[in-house]
Amino acid sequence: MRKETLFLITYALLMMITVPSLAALNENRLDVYISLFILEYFVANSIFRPRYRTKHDFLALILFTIFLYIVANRILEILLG
Amino acid sequence: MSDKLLTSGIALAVFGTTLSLFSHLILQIVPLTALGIAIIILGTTIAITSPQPLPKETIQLLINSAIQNIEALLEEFTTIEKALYIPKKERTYAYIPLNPTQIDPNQIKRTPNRLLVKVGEHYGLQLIPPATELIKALNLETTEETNIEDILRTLLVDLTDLAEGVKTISKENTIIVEINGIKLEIEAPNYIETLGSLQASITATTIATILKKPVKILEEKLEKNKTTIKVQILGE
Repeated sequence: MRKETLFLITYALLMMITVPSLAALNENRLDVYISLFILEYFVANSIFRPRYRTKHDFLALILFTIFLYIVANRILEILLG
Repeated sequence: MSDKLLTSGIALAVFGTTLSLFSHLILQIVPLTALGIAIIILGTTIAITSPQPLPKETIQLLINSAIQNIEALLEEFTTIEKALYIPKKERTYAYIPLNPTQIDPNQIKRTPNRLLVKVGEHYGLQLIPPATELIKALNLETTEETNIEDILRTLLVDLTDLAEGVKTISKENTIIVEINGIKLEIEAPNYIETLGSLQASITATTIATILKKPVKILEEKLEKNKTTIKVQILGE
């Protein structure tokens, strides 16, 4: 099977496991869900290393920026009490 | 195929956007909003992932017909030496000496891109090995990926389906490549004698292109469904 197909299947499975699992744990913070989706993206990406249509993986850049924003937000929340 | 992937990716992303907005603004259910966001990310990923432009069987047939052409050409010449894979500005060529002699690979680099070339006092055949254009299409110069094993796996396993796995070991001026689960064996004795098996010639062409150095197949051991190739890197 092509590594791109494996990457898509694995990533879809990981995300579809994350949502019901966190929902079952009564998790109501949206940023926790998004952070996990982003982490899963990078994990699957580093395992399968798929090829993209574009020269650079711009989605990774967007997701990483969102992740940084979420983390910064959390740190600020803790610091400001 | 490519448009189907792109269309389904965009459709998923649009559906995900609608679902997440609806769940967030109207239903106010966080897990459902998260599911919508997951679908947006997945849709975008599907849309940007590289598609398989041609069926693997078609690629194999095209490569095989290119080999049969080279085989027909080689039958007309008495080739006694193994080919040297010479990377040039435009593409990598396979140079087959027609006389038993030691030739400086850098001399071949300067020869014009013709079929029959004269290097010093000796003549040789200069052929374009199969899959050269496929390697060029990978844009190796622009990609950050320079791992030989990864590129060989992409070529031999993902793109052409000629093998099931690739392993490489580097030792000074030689690279040992082990290719497992060979799926296509060619019937071209002259080709195999001079350029190596199909997998070996693709391997040598790829290594020469990546390293931008002339290479030669020193040894090739063909076993059941497996081949071990010893590629020598020539020049400094």
